[in-house]
Amino acid sequence: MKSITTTLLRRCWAILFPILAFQTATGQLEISGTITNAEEGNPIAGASITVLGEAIGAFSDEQGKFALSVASEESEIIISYFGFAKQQIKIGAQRVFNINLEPDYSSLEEVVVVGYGAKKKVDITGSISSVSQDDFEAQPITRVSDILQGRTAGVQINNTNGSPGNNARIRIRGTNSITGSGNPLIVLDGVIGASLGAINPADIQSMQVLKDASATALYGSRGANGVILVTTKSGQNGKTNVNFDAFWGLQSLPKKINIVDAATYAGLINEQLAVGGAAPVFDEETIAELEASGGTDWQDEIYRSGSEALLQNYSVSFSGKKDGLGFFISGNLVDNQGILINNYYDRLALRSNLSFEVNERIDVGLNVTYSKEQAFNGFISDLLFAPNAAAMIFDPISPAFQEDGTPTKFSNYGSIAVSPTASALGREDERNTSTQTATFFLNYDIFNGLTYSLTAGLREVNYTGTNFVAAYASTGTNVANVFNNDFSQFQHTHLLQYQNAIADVHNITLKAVFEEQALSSYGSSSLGSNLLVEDVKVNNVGFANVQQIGSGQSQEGIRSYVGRVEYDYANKYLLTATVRVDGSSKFSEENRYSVFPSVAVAWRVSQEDFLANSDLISNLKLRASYGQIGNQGVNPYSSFGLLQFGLPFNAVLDNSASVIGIAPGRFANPDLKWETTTQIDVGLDFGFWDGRLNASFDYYQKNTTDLLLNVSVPAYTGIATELRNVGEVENKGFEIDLGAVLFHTDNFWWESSFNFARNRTQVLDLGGVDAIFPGRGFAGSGSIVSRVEVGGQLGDFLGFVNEGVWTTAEADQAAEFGLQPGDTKYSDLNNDGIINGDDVTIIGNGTPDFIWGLNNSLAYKGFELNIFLQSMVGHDIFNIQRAIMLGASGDVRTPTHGDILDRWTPENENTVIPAFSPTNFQAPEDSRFVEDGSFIRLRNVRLSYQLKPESFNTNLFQGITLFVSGQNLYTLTNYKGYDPEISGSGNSNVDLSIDNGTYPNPRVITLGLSLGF
Amino acid sequence: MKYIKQNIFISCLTLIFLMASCVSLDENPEGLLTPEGFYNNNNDLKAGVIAAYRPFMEFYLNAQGGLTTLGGDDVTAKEGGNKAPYRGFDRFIANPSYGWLQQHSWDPLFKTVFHTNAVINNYTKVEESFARDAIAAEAFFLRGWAYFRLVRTFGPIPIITNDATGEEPRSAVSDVYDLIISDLEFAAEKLPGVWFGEPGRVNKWAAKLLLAKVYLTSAGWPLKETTNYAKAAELAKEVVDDSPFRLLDSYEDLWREENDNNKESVLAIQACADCGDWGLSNRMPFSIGSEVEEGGWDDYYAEISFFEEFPEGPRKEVTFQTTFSGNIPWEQSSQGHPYYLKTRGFQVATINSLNAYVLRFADAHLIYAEAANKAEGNPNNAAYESINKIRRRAAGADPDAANASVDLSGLTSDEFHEAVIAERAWEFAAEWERWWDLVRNQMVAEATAKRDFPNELPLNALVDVNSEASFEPFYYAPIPLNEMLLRPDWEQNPCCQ
Repeated sequence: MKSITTTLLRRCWAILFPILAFQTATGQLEISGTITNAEEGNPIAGASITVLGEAIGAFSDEQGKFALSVASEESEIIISYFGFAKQQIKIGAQRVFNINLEPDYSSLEEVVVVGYGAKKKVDITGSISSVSQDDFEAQPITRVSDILQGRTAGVQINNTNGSPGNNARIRIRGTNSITGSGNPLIVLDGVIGASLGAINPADIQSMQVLKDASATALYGSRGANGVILVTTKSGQNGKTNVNFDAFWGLQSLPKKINIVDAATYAGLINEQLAVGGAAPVFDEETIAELEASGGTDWQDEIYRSGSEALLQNYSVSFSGKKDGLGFFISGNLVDNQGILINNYYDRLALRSNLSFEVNERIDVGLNVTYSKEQAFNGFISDLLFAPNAAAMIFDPISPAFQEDGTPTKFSNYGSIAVSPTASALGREDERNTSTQTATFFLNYDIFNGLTYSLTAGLREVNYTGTNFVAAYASTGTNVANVFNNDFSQFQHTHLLQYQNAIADVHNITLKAVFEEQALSSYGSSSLGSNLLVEDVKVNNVGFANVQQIGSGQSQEGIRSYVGRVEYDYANKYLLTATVRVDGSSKFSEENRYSVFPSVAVAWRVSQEDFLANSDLISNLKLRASYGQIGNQGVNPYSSFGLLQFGLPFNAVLDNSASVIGIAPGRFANPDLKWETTTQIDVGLDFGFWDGRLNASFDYYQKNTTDLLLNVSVPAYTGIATELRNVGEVENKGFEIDLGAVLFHTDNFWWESSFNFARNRTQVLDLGGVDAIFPGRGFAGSGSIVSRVEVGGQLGDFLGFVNEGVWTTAEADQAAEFGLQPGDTKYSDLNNDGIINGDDVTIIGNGTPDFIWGLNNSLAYKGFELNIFLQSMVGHDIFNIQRAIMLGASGDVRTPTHGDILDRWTPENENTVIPAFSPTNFQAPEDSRFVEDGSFIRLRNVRLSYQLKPESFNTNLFQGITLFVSGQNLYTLTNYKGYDPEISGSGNSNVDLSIDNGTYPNPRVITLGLSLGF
Repeated sequence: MKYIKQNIFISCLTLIFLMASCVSLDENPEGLLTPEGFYNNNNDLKAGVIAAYRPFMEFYLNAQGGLTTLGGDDVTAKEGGNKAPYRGFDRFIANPSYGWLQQHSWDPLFKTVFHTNAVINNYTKVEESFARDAIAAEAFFLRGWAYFRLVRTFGPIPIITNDATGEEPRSAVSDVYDLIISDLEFAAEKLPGVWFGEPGRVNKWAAKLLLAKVYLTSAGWPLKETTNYAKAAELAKEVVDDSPFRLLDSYEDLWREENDNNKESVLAIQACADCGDWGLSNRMPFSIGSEVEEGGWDDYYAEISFFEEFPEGPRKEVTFQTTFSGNIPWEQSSQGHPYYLKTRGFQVATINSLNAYVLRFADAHLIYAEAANKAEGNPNNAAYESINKIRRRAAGADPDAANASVDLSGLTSDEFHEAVIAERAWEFAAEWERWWDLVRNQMVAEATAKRDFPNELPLNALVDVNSEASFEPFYYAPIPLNEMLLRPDWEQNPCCQ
């Protein structure tokens, strides 16, 4: 669906510049006419009339009239207006045209990119979601992943970390792999592999998400996690367009966590000591002083808001087409200060897309881009030491700064981490990524129906990081680290295509593709600690007393052959069959090549005679597809046996220096091969009332076998895991897409779109064992909380079942466990009278039952209101941070959470928070810290106003739009932490929705403007 | 004509399709080490052995290495915090699911085995020389050391001498001892007496002393190969008489960082706090320091009755910390127990470079005294002299001068044995020795009976301090849960079935 903005923009142009808007024609034949709405009879203003193949055209005026010069009677004009079916008319002898446009809300004729070519939406047999620029230009976004979030059914995008510039976790139709990569394949303008973070969203023309086997099998060994095709803009016939967009966002922390003040905290310390029989450390007087001063609010110390946490985005673009040369040239500047102090993300992105018609048979093109991203203090791996987490567990008694102005380092009472101010200010972690791409295109129309296309793409990514941790921000000595990695990628793709229609009803397209890709990277790192002169920081690691250096390289190659047949009979019965053969360097010679077949059929019921004249049903299509796709998501050289070395293998033999040791590592594994996903998909597309209401349903089942799984082997072998092809995971789900124009009058327009997806990932086989623990441990938790078991779902949490607190009435029962009233009451699952590791079970799951998104656009005269809701329902969040803050972890000594005041006392028995007690046994892996994470989020509200053309006193501007918007304004949730969308586990497939004090997503109020020249 | 031209063009294109390959699919893992290209010379072998020293070092440098010895009466742990694994062993309710059991009592030992096997199975690729065999002997020593700890801790365990498949059975305890003995015999034969400049490398005397301890242990529970007492005595005597090692005059000097690698240090872990590697620093000042009073981690501390029975003298003063933060006596401290001071070099809440003893010369004396008495049926003069040297030093007297106030004499064999075991308890308190002494002599019930209840943690209801047999199921630690999950065919140890 297109945004109303476009419509309004065109209407206004038409009023202001009835003819000027397009280059005025210079032809010989003068034509004119009137354009009317065929249904209501009223004139249509702002419809565009272009001459096929020429850079001339006009818009209709308020009365629907237009006038134009064309070259000859052979010329053809195209009349189009949003919401109406396009018409193409040959001039012939006629000079005056009265054109009735039929309403058509659907975008069925829209051509979408499908991989190795493009297709009309009606002719697509697979399951593809498409988003075009009109769908997202109403949202002030700096990240490409935000385009897809909540807009495409079956695509789950989580901003698991609110740090600026952080990449979202993207999963298409669930997760196939347990320990392999779950990321979808990104294809940018035909080149496989791209970083979404480096792309300016304003450069994007459209994005397609390929979901079923027929669509993704085209990408063979890399398509199993779904494919996202990104197509950037190109110059179009007509006037040269200049656009300038700018917005400024004021960001803030959406919510504060309730943390006790200093006096209360001191009282808690005393009370805890008293329980252990020790004397208090704070006397009345000190507590009174703390009460007066209030202590330190660490959240206030490290978070900032408003103009201090400003997000700025500027984009400018020039596009057009002249004398066969099309161009789209753009620049983008982003400065995103974090809500965390001393934290930001910047991006500069430049693009030049050029295309040239050499002659009527040959087109060539070159897209060149450069982007530079800089992220500062966005990455702290040990979350306990990240300021965000530390702010919640650090004692409020310590001052934020010492008298000499340096941040406080350690707490005398609470956390073992350094203070939030120390870790926020004492680090300089800068990551610079510059990306350069060059993509060359050649299209050669050999003869009728036979074409050859070449795509050759080069991508270079230079990554340089420097990280300095001052002594005051480190638990050990100061550390300086410099690391860099040069990555380069080359791809050449040859496509030979033959298209023919036999007897007008047999439409056939044959495609053959040969493609190769080579990737290489080289990296090095220098780490120094205990710097002689701290001020040198990262600028000369040679000053460090202790130095570690390293370097490494990797290379991989992939060679592919694709054959595809697309056939339809009378546009009613459609068939697509594809075979891709991929050879990858990652596997040994015997397992190198693999074949990925797929087939899809569709029946356009609406083309049948019995529906052809239906007023109600304008489109009805049934689809079904089946195919096999691969995932080669392992590192190069995985089949080789390896020796290991590095810090964990060094030893000291002479009492003064560490020397290098070399240990055996993994065993050789020549049997390694791809994971294979077999997917079946059935779908139904509906269009009612000329597409005023569109609906799409899909049901799918995916079974992934030969999982590339790091299988646990007994630790006595010396190795913990071994990569093998074992096991099976199944994903089942369905998706609903709805789009409707709810109101459509001359002044008011309301369109709405809704999508819904449910996916269930079940583990069917783990290669002979019942359960594995591929997740990681989190600071504050004593064990790995995620468990993957046969019959279970990915994202299961393991822990004790909390039944509350033993009450006074239950004192005798508690005593049987060596406990007393006020102690935590865990279920004794095996009834052995002891609460221990045998009493843990699955206590939650981090995957949502379903996700949905609802987008509404309302337009009234020059105003447009866009309201976008996004929701995840049914996922549990393991709130480790809360467990730490309530003292249920060994890593913090005194609870900081305000809820500790509700702990059990003989007078307060109706609580789940245990008393301070020497006998209490509690663990962070406790069902009371597993919370319902369901949320409905007001992701974006935007109000824009298109300035009345009368108010311009200049011809300079063609359009001015002003807008104000709010992102993350409100989140409806019961979750007790900052943000139900975040997860400390980032991109993992098994550790889902685990909150260990992760950086929350900010609330943003944005002001912006858009100028067209 | 036009048609032909097009045909030629298509042919050319087809050719491009077939010929234009410019990507290689063959992997060449440059920069990565593969086993085929390594272990070709003594330097490679040494690098391989160094990797085996790593888990050996880590085992001793934090408190968790002693986890499974908490059943001894020298140490106990507190309720609360994350100390459940220590409490579990202290109370005889240990659980297979303890992460520390896996991470600190199982993994580093089998990692040592894994790393040493790489050297042991490849060293013959290098041309034979003394130097080559000496390096191989280090690997044999470390493998023997690892299996000796493993077999005492877990009983039957898989013997791994090649690439493990993960399907090995648990081998009988006697088979494990056979492997340990042959490994240590190789080491004792091929190791040099000293590695100049590298005191952290194992030497011949360490091999002999460890082998003596292996024989002594095999003479007790469970193998009860009493003929091995004589072998233990013989080897220990050789170390006492022929090795260059001697007792330090002052017990306190043993625990000063500046005295690392002293003449009593037969083998010690070369802790290094300045090497930029946390894993190689000695963390004991954190681990076993008092948490509330001094910012340590409270991993374990002294049992009250053990402290109270401990003979007064300089050794006791050096062994324990009895006041905190300057003036809080242990009775009024938050945990109400004395803490161990010596093994953390008298420091708290820091890391340091104090070496951790693997074997010290005092052990040679006490092994000799115990083994000779058992082998010969009564204590000989040399046995008396050995134990008396330890006792004199403990009292602050000259170790080498007879001293009627502390010297033992005129004891029966049983009395002498009891005295040696007690002396070992004091001398090696909190050095993770006491538990093994109790087990091999089956004295766990007797020692446990002395605990100062209710100031100590309550015991498992299944044990009875009047019955050694009731403790027998708890001699072996549970096999870690993860291993049992992966080997459901294995039978869990009696403690935890």
